[in-house]
Amino acid sequence: MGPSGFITLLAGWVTTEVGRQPWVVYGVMRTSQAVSPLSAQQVGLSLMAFVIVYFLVFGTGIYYMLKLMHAGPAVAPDPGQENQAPRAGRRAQPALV
Amino acid sequence: MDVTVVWAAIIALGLLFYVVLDGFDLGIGIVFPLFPEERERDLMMNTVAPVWDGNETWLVLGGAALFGAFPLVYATVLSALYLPLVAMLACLILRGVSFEIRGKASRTKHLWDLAFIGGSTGAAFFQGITLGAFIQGIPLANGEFSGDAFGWLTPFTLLTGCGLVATYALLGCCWLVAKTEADLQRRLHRLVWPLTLVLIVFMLAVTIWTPLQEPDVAARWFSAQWFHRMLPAPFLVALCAYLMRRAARERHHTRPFILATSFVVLGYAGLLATLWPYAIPSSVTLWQAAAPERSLTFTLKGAVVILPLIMAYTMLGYWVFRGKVRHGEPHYH
Repeated sequence: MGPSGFITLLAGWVTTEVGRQPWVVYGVMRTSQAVSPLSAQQVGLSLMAFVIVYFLVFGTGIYYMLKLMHAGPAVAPDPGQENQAPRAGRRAQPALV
Repeated sequence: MDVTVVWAAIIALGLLFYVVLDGFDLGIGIVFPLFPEERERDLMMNTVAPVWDGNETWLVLGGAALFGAFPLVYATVLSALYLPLVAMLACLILRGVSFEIRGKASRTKHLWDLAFIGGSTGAAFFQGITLGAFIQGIPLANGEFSGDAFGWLTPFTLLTGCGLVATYALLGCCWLVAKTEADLQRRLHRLVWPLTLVLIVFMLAVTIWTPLQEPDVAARWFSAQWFHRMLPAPFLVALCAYLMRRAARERHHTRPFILATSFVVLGYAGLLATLWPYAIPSSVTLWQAAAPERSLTFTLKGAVVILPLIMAYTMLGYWVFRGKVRHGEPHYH
């Protein structure tokens, strides 16, 4: 149930981008006519940079999300219980790394 | 005043807002290494936590407006400057993520500090390289970029790269002076004048180097039409420098930031005077690079509505979070 949103998004994007090939403007201009005069090495380098950065960013994000899910929802302190010792196993504020 | 010039003015203004607003965001990251204590770093980031996102969006506005209004520039210049722009984007991503994660991290906080410093300095540096490469001009053939992948890497662009890092460092330092107090502000005040001097050296270097390298620029600067218009500029820079020295000495709160912005505006005005009337120096004029007039008029109607809205909510945001930032105040996310 959880990833179904991501799957639908990706499915939509793949359909759009692959389905319209070989046109970039359907029926008017082909993708090969719209390409910039960049070398394959340049574009490959930028693709590699994006992959590395996104792995870093999304990896950290997913790690944080999993940690938050594991810690559970933050429990608001009951006014009558504030002075008692905190319940074992529950932190009020989850820390990251 | 035709619609092409209006759009050029909108893009120029949008980029000026970007330089001033994201300038101090990035500048905070650039001066971070001088303030290693964690509590102070938290405080410094808190000064921009509510506004840095919006500041960065002015770059997007400039780029998108370029795409719509001057598609030839967007296509050729962005292809020519592909590598420095991708590097700048990677730095901006790292800087942006470090804003959010650093506040929550405990074991890896120093790594995210490095990401913040490296991302901010790298973004400033590559923006400066982009600027220098743009001033140098882009080789074109049949309306397409015809140069090689590393035309942007020259001693001149390295100079402009470092110059922009110095500019943002001064902006960041002056912003922090306005938003902090007590001992931290005192130490920041001591930084203001040295950073101003560094900036002036870079401005001088670029001002001397540009006409030496580009004979068209030299011809324009010293022509009868432009020379008397550009003549006040060095005197205004000197005046700002004198006022900045006094403001730092007398520990003014907001005056350093206003003067730092004045330096940026003066430099920017010089840049615009250098570029006019070209969209791509020195080969393509604004009118040659512009989209069809109907597109320009149509998009202008949208811009005229949206831009005042953006300015209004931006000013509201700064007004809501006005005043000094102190230790122990809640994180503004």
